[in-house]
Formats: sequence, C-alpha cells, structure tokens
Amino acid sequence: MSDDWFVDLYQRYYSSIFAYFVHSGFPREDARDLAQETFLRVYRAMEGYEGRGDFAFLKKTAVRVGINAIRDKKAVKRHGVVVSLEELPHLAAGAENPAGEAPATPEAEAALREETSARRRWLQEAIAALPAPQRHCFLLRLAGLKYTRIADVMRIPLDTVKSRLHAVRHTLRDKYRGETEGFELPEELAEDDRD
Amino acid sequence: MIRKSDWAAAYQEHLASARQAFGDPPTTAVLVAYTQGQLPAEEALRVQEYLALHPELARALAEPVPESYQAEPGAPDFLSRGEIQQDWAALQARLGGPGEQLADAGPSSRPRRAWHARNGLARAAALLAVLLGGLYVQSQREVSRLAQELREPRANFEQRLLLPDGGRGAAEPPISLPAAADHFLLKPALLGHPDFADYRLKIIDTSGGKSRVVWDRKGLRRLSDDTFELWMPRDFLSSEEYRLELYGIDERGAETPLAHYTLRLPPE
Repeated sequence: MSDDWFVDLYQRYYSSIFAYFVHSGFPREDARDLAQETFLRVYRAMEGYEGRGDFAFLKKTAVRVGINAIRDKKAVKRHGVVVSLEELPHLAAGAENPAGEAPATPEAEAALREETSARRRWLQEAIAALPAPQRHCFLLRLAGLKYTRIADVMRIPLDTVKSRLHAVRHTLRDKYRGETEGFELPEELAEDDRD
Repeated sequence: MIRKSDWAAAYQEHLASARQAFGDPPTTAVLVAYTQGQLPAEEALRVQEYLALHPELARALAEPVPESYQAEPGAPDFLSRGEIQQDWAALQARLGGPGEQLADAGPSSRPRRAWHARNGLARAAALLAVLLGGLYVQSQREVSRLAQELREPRANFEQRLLLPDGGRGAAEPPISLPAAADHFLLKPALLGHPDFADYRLKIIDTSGGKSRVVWDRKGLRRLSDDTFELWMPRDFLSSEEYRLELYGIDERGAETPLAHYTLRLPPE
C-alpha cells in the first residue's frame, strides 16, 4: 500500500479538522492534539486494509475522537462540581447580589438565603416538569447553543425548536404567575427567532 | 424576583441531579449512530436526554466538520504553515516515521512521496507472506488459481451479517453458510462495545473437536454500522465448522475479547 493518500489527506484536511475541534470548544493546543489523534487513528485503521481514508471516514473519526476527549475530561471532573459558572458565562454575568449590599443583620441574611434557595428550587422543579422535548431544547439553549445547532442535535426542523422554546416561555410565565412579583426569563429565551 | 443568577444555579442543580439519575451513558458508537438516524425512537429519545444534560457533547456532535475551511490569519482557528509542519512532524513521530518534512506545496501541487513508503512496502510484503503461508498447505496450483480468481469480478457471492454467539436468540444455532456461493462477504457485527484503537480477528477451524488458527489479522476497520467486512473465498473454508474471535486492542496494545461467532458450512 502506498501512503501517498495519507499525505494528501493531511494536506487537504488537517486545517479543517483542527478548525472543527476549535469550533467545538476545545482550546487551541488541545485541538491540535486531537487533530493529530484523528489522523493517527485514520492511518492505523487503514493499515492492512485495501482502501484509503476519505473525508467521510476522517470526519466520523474526528467526531469520535472529540466525544472521547470530552468524556475523558469529564471523567476527571466527575467527583467535583458538575458545571461551574465559568462554563456558563452568559448566565453567570447576572450572578451578582441584586441589591449589591450585604444584609443588615444575620436574621436578614438568613431570610435572604432562604428566599433565594426557594426561588431556585422552584425554577429547578419547573425545568424538571417540562415535557421532555421542550426541556431538551431549553437546556441546550441555556447552555448557549444556537437555535440551528439545537435543531441539528435534536434532529428536528428549526421551526420545531422555535415552537418548543415558545411553549417553554409560556409555560414558565403561566406557572410563575401569582407566585411573587417579578419574573425575568433568561436572555436565551427572551426572543423567539434569534439565530 | 427571579434573576439570571437564579437561572444559572437552577440549571446547574438540574444538570447535577439529572446526570446522577441518568444511568449508563450511551457509548460513542451509539452517539454516532444517533447522528446518522440509525436508532429506534425510544433509544434516540434517551440519547437526546443525555445530550441535553451534556451540552459540550451536543456541541461536538452538532458542529459541522468543514470539508474546506479557510481561517483568517490571527483567528483562533487559524493554523500557520509552520504549525502544520510542526504537527506533521509530531504525527510522524507518533507513527514511528523518520521525520521527513511535509512538502511545502500549494493546494494544486502534488505532495512529496510518503515518508514511510518503505514501511508500506514492508507491510504489503508481510501481508502477502501471511496470505501465501496460510494457503501453502494447498498445492501451488491451487494458490495460482485463487490468485487468478482474486483478480476477476465476483458474480456469485453471499453477503451474511454475523450476529455474535449469545446474541442470536435462545436456541443459538451456529451461523449456517450456504454451500452454493463461491465467495462470502461476512459482516461480523459488534454490538454495544466502545471504540478501540484497533481490532483483531482470528478464524479458528474447530471441526472434529480440533482448534487450529487458520487466519489471524489486526488492523480491521470498524464500519459506521458497527460491523467489519471480511471477503472470504468458499475454498478457504474447507472444514465444516469455524469459530471467529474478535478482539479490541487499546492504545497500550492490550487486547479485550469482544465477541465470537460460530459458523457451520454444509459439506460441498
């Protein structure tokens, strides 16, 4: 077997595979390692096989390498906090104390903590109570995925993503009505048809 | 008043508790099968739930892999020619090559001859030796006939999906191959196993209570439908019963038995 095909494959697609890993959220140096790993696997898979690696095989291998890398990274973190605020910068931006001041007394501080905790419990229950298809779209949107990417992941049309998130918005608003004053939806849900 | 910080906290708490309750995660092969629309609805829904709880995986699956991509210099997804050369050298080192430079060529020019062409020739020679060695027990004339046959188009062959032993139902009969076909395209299926760096297949003649390895090969390619393809001349299978053993080989070279398949061939 001549290996010219491999040099050709590398020259044609190495930059594309690297870009895929960067766009998937990997830091640049990790993306370079993963791109190399992808080509290494393709080469090894082709050893002793009367064929050549093509782009379709390269692409599939890159996705597998990416999934495995994410899983390996998660396995290391498994015993710690599952998602840090750093991973959710778009939500973390509003993580300040709304009043911006410390409570005057320990009793006031305890009351504030209890109130905050009740609000968050309510939200968590509201998320869990959503029908599965709506919840999936909503969680991915909260994670910052664009509508088009959510459609790709869920394998549904873009309009279905929009209608599911529209339904989530109404469900949450209806549910919250009468609980207490003021209800701010996350920005990700504020508009119907962004992206 | 519900604020962004409440959403962030509720989101994290929901992910943490739902992830704990989820159970066994889908394998990489199942995730890839999902992206290709190959899963039944119920399993696809389970994968969707999993992806909603693991947005970084969802992002990697949904992100298109561009066939052609031109990044702007200075952008995070831009690789300079020097970096491409550097990565090529690192890749060569990982593959054990001598470290020749990648041709500094534009998109239209041909790459320099591969750095490990000699390795390729050596591998091809070894492959041929193994093939001929396996067949040497038959006459030289038979080898020539088979070699000639390999160069000719195939008109009469039988494709057969092989489900592993233990996965073919309660009665578990051996897989029976028809006597009439000249060649078989055997497709051993691998169900529910993660990906390995490499795979190995052994064919063992088990007729009459013996156990003799008649073919043993690494470097098998796992296809997108989680099968392997094995082109088999009927003449190679001259006994009545064979056992195929499939192994996964990890990055350190450790082998894990994955599946075995019992084949029975009626006498010709």
